[in-house]
Order: sequence, then C-alpha cells, then structure tokens
Amino acid sequence: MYPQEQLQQQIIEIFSERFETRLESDDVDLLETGLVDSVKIVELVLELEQRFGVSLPFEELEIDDFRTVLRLAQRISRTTSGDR
Amino acid sequence: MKLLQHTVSEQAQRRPQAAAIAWKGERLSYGALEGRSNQLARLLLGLGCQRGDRVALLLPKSPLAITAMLGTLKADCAYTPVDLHNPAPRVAQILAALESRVLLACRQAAGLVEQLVQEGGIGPVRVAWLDDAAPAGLPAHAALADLDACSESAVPSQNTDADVAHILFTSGSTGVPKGVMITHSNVIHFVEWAKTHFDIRPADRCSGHSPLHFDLSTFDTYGSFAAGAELHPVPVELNLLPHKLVQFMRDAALTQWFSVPSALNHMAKAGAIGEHDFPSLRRLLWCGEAWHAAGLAHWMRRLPHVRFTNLYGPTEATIASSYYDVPGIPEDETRPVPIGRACAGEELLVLDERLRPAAPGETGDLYLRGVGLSPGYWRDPAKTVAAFLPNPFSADASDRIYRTGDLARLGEDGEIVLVGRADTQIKSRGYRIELGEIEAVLHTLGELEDSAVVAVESSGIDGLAIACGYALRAGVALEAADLRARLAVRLPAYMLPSRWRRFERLPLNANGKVDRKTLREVFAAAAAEAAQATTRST
Repeated sequence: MYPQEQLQQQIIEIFSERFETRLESDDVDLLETGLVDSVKIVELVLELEQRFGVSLPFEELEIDDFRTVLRLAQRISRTTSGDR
Repeated sequence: MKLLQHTVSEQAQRRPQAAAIAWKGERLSYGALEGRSNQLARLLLGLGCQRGDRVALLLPKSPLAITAMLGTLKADCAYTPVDLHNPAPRVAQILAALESRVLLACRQAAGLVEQLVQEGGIGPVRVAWLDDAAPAGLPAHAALADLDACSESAVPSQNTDADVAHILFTSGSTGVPKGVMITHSNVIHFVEWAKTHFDIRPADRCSGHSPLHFDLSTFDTYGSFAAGAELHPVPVELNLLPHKLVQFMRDAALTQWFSVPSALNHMAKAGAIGEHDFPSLRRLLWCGEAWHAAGLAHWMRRLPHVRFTNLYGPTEATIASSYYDVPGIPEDETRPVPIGRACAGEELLVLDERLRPAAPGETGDLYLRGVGLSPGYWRDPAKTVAAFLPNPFSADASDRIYRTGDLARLGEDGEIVLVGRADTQIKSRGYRIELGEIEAVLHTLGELEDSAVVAVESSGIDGLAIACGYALRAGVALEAADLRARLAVRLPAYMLPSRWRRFERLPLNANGKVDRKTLREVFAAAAAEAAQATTRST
C-alpha cells in the first residue's frame, strides 16, 4: 500500500508524462478544465491499474473519483487497502 | 409552424401539462416552458434588444439554457450558445464578432466573465444573470428577480422563417472561429422531414446528448418539441463513464438516441451494453463523423429491436443532409457505412475539379444543395463566397451549392460513401477541428522555430489523435508541457495535441514545405513502438 502523498505525486507524474500536462495543485478540478475527458479517462485508468497494480473496473467508478488528484488517490487507496 | 419557437407554443396550447424537458428528476411542462420563455423575451426587450440582435448564451446545458434559446427567438433575436470550457480569449473573439447587446449568464459562467472583464473588457454588452443575484464585482444589468417580474404573456413577433435563428461557431483554419448563420427555415425543413421519416410522436423520449453549441443539438431540441415529445438532455459529465451513460439511457427509458459515434464506441468498448438492452429504444441515430462498421455491428447484434440510421451533414447545411437506414448487421466490417441519400429538399453532388458530375464509383468533391443551406458565415463575405458557390447547373443566381471539403463517391446502389477530406479538417469526438487553427496559435509563439500539426490514427475511442511536431529557436529551453499550457490559454481542450515531438529541424519536402506525410509516419511509428512496449510489460 502506498502512502497518500506518494500516490498523489505519482498521479501528477502520470499527467506530466502521458498527457504533457502540469498540474498546479492536487485540487485542480480535472473535469471542469477538461484535463480528464472521455478519451483520456480510458488511458488514465489503464495507467493507474498498471502503475499501482490495482483493478479499477469502469462499472465500479464514480464520476467524482476523477474530480481531483486528491479524489483519485483516495479511490486508489481504498482499492489497495481492500476496502471497497 | 412558421418559426422554431412555435414548436413549443403549439404544444403549450394543446397539452400545457405535458412534459417538454426532463432534467435531473424534474420535469418542465410545455406550458411552463412557454411562460418562462415569454418572460425571457420580455427581459431581453427591456434590456434594449432589437430585432436581429445576437444574444450570447453563457449557460451550461440545462432547461434554463433551452428556455433562453426560445426566449431569444421570441424577442426576434438570434442566439449563440457559448461553450463555457472555451478559454476566455476564444470566447472574446466570438463575442467581438457577434457585437451582442445582451449576454445571458449564470453562476457557472462567473469565472469566465470575470476573466473576460480582466483581459480587456467585454465592451458595452449588458449582462443578465439568470439564476441568482449577480456575482459581486461583475457587470450586471439584470438578475433573476427582474426575470421573475416579467409577464408570461405572449410577445408579438415580426420575424419570418428567413431570419437567422442561431449562429454556431466552428473551427476556422486561419485561427478565428467561423460563425455559421442558420435560419428558422433551415431547421424547420429538417425537423419536418425527420419527424415524419422517424415517426417521432408525443410519447417519445428523445436524448439531448450533443452540447448546445453543436448543430446536432438543434435536432434534439426542436425535433422533440415539434413532435410534442419529452427531451432528456444528457448531463455532460456522464460521458466520462460509459456505464453511467448506459444507466441514464435505461433509467430514462429513452425511445430515441442521437449522438456522435465516439460516445457509442465508449459504451461498446466498456462492455456496458447488454443483450436486448434498452427495451423502449426504437431508433438510434448518429452523425458528426464516420462510425466504423465493427462498432455499429456490436450495437446492432445486441439491440435487434432498434432501427439504426446514419445521418450526415456539416453545420453549414443544418443538422443533416443525407441519411442511411442501415438495412441489417454489416457483414463486412471493413467496408465504410454509407452516408446514404439526400433528405427531402436536399441534394448531394459528387463533382470533379471542374464542377462536372463525377462518374459513379469515381471519387469527387462532395457538394450540398437545398433547403438546409446556411445563408453563410456571419460578417465574413470572403469565406462565404469561397465555400458557397453559384450552382453551375442553374441560371438562377440565388441557387447555391456548398463545398463540404469531404471527398465522396456514388456507389452502384445509389448510396454515397465518404472517402476522406480534401483539406486538413479532422473530426474528433464529433468536434470539427481545423488543424490550421491550432497551427495559427503555435505560430504566434516566439520560442518556436517551426511547428506543424498532423492527425494520426489512434487506438483510442476518438479515432484520430492530434500530433504536434516542433523545433525550438536556438537557446530556448521549453518542454512539450509548456507548449501545451500555452496553447490551452487560447484553444479549447479538445483541440490540444495529445502527442508531441521535438525535432532539430522539421522534415521538409522538395518544395521546402513541412513534409506532413513523413511527420505522420514518425508519429505512427512512435505509437506502434509504445504499444509494443505496453504489451511486453503486461
């Protein structure tokens, strides 16, 4: 299991490496700004699954899980701690 | 029905209690929509709006935005729905072009309006805030209380069906968005044809998937209202998660679905559609870009009770000019799905470079003619003349044909098939993007020695990915993320390149111009390499 801080840092790295996007902070609204859209979400979920060795089935995800880096990190923590 | 707003007035007279719009658990009746849009028209007139004015709508997709559209028409004005996700400078360009007297806004637009005011002002435009008191410090000439105080009685109108109902902005290759003028008559012709052809009835529940600044949404809205059906606008955020979108379709028991193919592929690829899913659904329509036969077959196999129709047509010819009712599950998934034949009152012409009909089976330029043709681009006679040509087969000077830029051929079965583009316009998730508009912004960046944008095939749901090759000036240290951030200030998110590559010097052809073919190959090779690496690591 990853500490929350480290998770957030790694998610910010994914945005930088995969999407050439610098996130100014971990509470930027990723949906309002269009940083996560229907195309990127597929790639993002795949990347999160690979990097953190978790399973994130689409049908178990909520739109608000993608709202901010913070929310994403929390969603992954819940998965890795086995608490769904 | 003479004007678009009459679709609602007629239902309000006959069936005032019937639901016009269903939204987040609530229903707005035709009677209430009629009264509220009358109030809105009166608010606009009170703010000084005159016949022919353009009203900019800074409102997210909602019953309020649809009410504002109707209210604007009732004030004999034309509206432009503005995408709130557009960066402020692009919105400023649109507002400057429209020279609106009034702008309708709500809470979600406050940040954008603030930015517009800070970055050079919004001119003398009067701002009406429709959902609350005006945000502090921003221009405010009317608020919700003023709207509530207006009478709900009908407003007299002088407009004819030849008047402009809305101006929709689309990507322009020179860096400035083009405003396509659409008249009441343009939309009414399509809606009347579609209502009959698709047999849309009062009991129907129609999707409103497209954003309101997309031309397709005008069919959702006025098609549904003309039939007295129930419009179900789809909340935008549902597009992110295919299972949520599917659940929305099920819960609303939609009878008609209309969207771009990428939304349909998104749901198919996630395996979200069940056997005999959506038992109430009668028809599924798509438009905006080509749908691969494999994706279509996936849907058709699961939904044998649904009729599938491909609609085709650019904004300049209003919603759609041709249709293809799919006769059965495509057997050969490598063959393109035809765009079919002309809708009533429309004509599709495949012509050679000298504007003579191309022989059947031969590729030519696709031109459109008929009742859907826009009068042209807003205050841009040069672009209008370049795209709308005199009909070479007619002596009537007012008879025009529109050059779509699409390449097409006429099949032996009489159905027309699209082959590609004659220029660098692409479609991504239904968004029409001129690669030249992206390049125009790149060329304003002083740090770049050279840059070029190309579209490459992607395995994602969008079909095409936007790729940017660039070379930096000597001594400049800049990363792709910096360039992306600079573009994001001027361009909407869907226009930003998703692939970047730095070159010492861009590949050139014999004429000294950027060799786009080589550039595309470089990106395609890089993508193939990346895909292989992913396969190895899993």
